[in-house]
Amino acid sequence: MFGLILKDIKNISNQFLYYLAAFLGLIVFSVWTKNVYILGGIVFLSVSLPLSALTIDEKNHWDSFALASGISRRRLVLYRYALAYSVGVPLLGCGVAVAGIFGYLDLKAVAALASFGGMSFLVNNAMLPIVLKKGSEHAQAAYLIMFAGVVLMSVLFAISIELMGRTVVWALAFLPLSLGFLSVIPSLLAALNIYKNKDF
Amino acid sequence: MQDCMRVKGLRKNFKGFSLEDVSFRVPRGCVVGFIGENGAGKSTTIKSILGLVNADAGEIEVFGKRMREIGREEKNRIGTVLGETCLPENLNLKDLDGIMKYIFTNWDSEKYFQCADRFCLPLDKKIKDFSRGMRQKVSLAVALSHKAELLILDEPTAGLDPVARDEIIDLLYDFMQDEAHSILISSHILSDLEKLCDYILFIHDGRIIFEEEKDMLTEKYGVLKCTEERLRELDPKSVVGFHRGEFGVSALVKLDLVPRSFVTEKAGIEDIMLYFIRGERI
Repeated sequence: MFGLILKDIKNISNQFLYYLAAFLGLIVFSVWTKNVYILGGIVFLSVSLPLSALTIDEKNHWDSFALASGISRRRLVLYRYALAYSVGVPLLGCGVAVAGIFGYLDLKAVAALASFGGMSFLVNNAMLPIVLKKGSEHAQAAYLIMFAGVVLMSVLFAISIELMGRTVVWALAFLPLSLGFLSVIPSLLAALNIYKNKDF
Repeated sequence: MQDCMRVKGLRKNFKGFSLEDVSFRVPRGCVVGFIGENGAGKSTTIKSILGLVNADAGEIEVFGKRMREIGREEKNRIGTVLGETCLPENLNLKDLDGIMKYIFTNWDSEKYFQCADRFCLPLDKKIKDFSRGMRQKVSLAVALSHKAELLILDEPTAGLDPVARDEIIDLLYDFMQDEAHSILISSHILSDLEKLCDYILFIHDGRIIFEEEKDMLTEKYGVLKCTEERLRELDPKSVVGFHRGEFGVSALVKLDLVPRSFVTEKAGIEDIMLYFIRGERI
């Protein structure tokens, strides 16, 4: 698994630098404006990094080589989820840490970060089986629709968090996060089934 | 002779194409050349063997074990070159070495860099900036650097100039110096196979036409040039196929069924393939 993730890190190293620069810029802007939703947006953007890695793999026919080299279909699916969460979870933690260090981590901030994080995990869990089945090119339309939907939901969450009471804020915050973590199970099962039957 | 690989009754149905009951063997210490026109089923057969395609039926045994039962370490004893390069193109050869250590249990960095050196491959240049020939060489360098005992090569010399092809053939000769090693190689460049192979496996339209020792093929088949009337004197079973020409016909015939009074020429693998596929039947 380590070799596969190392390959992805090296594969997307160029893009990673652009992402890093964008993330740092957004963090600075968030700290300057004390706006936690910008940090939430960074967490959501983490979805596109593992998807980029998958797109490159697809272009390189990497999975054919990996399967021929004795890596199981199951492992190929599992490491993709591991990669997605190994990017998303630290970024979520990073968002919480930045807001905490710079003194704007209150209940609303936690709720905002948790809901954005949850939605990013939900999108990951929805996108990975689609990309594994249809290929990244065909999955782009699904990704755009999902992205628009999540942006709309994020705006609704943000308004709700700002306007509603404490209990509603907690519920709103942890509903997407819980769903984000729980949906990994059906998503993973679907992805494993897709790869089990796929011809390369 | 012990078999390194055995394929029995392999079937796979796609829309508009199917592999039908493909059976053959790769004896240990031998090179089997896999020939057939585009779309005949070579790549599908190879992909089925390697587990890239889920076969509908059939048994594949490698190193005496069923393919579906062999683990990663044993699968690492198979080196592969697939039709496409199939390697991370954003990486250079040094990066690739760092990755392959984790992919193959017996990865041999020294051998890998030796191969790269022999092929004059630059170590710091990204694979995506390589020519097609250089990419094929990288794939082959990887296949030869994890102590594989069986090489399964799908068109490893496609797109290469004669010099590069010769280098690859030399490298495969070196690989075959170990008597325990075996190769299954598909190629359209039949002259390469004629140099290298012990056996020829011929597939057409998803069916195996024959698997024969290469030397036996030249003893078994010959090319007869004569008039059509004279050709029709022969037992139809002796004529594989014929082509009409300006001055008569040329036919691929089975030498053991042709009377000695008919003078035949030696048939090359290319002749045999062409007459089987495109030749008219009597």
